[in-house]
Amino acid sequence: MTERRDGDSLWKAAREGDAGAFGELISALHPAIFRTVLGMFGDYQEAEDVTQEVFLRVWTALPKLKSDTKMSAWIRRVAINASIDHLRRRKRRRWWPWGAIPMNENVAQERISTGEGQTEVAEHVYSALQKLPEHYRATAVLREIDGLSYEEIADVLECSVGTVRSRLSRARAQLKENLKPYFE
Amino acid sequence: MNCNEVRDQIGELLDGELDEASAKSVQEHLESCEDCRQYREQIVQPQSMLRSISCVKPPEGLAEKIIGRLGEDVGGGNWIETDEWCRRLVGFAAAALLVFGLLAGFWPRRNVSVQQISQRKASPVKAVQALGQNEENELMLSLAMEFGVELAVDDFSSKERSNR
Repeated sequence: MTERRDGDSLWKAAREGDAGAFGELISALHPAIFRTVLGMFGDYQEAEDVTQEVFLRVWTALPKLKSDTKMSAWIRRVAINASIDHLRRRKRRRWWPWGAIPMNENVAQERISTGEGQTEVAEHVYSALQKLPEHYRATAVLREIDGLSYEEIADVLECSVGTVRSRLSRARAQLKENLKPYFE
Repeated sequence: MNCNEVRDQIGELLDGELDEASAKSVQEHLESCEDCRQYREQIVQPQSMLRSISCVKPPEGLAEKIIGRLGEDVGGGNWIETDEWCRRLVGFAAAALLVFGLLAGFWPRRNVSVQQISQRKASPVKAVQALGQNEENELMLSLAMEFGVELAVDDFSSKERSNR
């Protein structure tokens, strides 16, 4: 309970422009946000960049937030949206001759970084996640990596619990297929 | 409960998100259905793999990097968006140049026919004569500029004289 109150008071101070309080929130939350972002596109280096972008977006938007906003759900929503934006920019960049990123399946797998803490298993998992549609991927990441309940996921993605159930069921069925070669 | 309904709910059962009655029905079906039990195992394996990456650590010093960037980037857009805007700007400029080039290529410069142009090349004075008097001065200048034809002052003067 004490931790939660501390969190609330830090958010309150950060909303009022207290950069020190926001710094404390960054220190506490950045590992979880980094994992969410990494789950969304599986590249360690890009996940680092997008995690920074998430906190900058949050800091910029904080003064305009409604007072009843659920901060834990909101910051994850910012992380998911920033990841989706980044993925779309990356796709668009394929058409720019000077910014082309080869995106065929084999190269995409090679791009999954072997950053610290990542193992061969992790690479397979991230690769399998990349093959899911964005909303299924977000649901699976929030559930399996972040450990959120269905209701919390519904808050983050601003959809019903029923939608979470069906997306998760389909995401799992697809993940089962995507990871089949690994188990054979 | 049929197999499809059960498979849809296996994940919820594993997550503890099913109500008691539904959980009981799914469990009963699983006890009697080998295929659905296999399906459950196939769901559990990826699930445990996903959960194994929930302990991945962020790069060292990431929090400090973010805090350092707050002062630099907030209010001035962020670097990813800036990069994107630069790309867009270059793209728009290239497209505008292309369109301008195409339009310039097809835009009729004057009402001068191919025949008149060939006449210009052969004899600037004849070309001038082929056109109306009002265009004369302008054409004389454009001939000199576009084709590098040297027009003698005498030529122009003789035309003027012939008109008189």
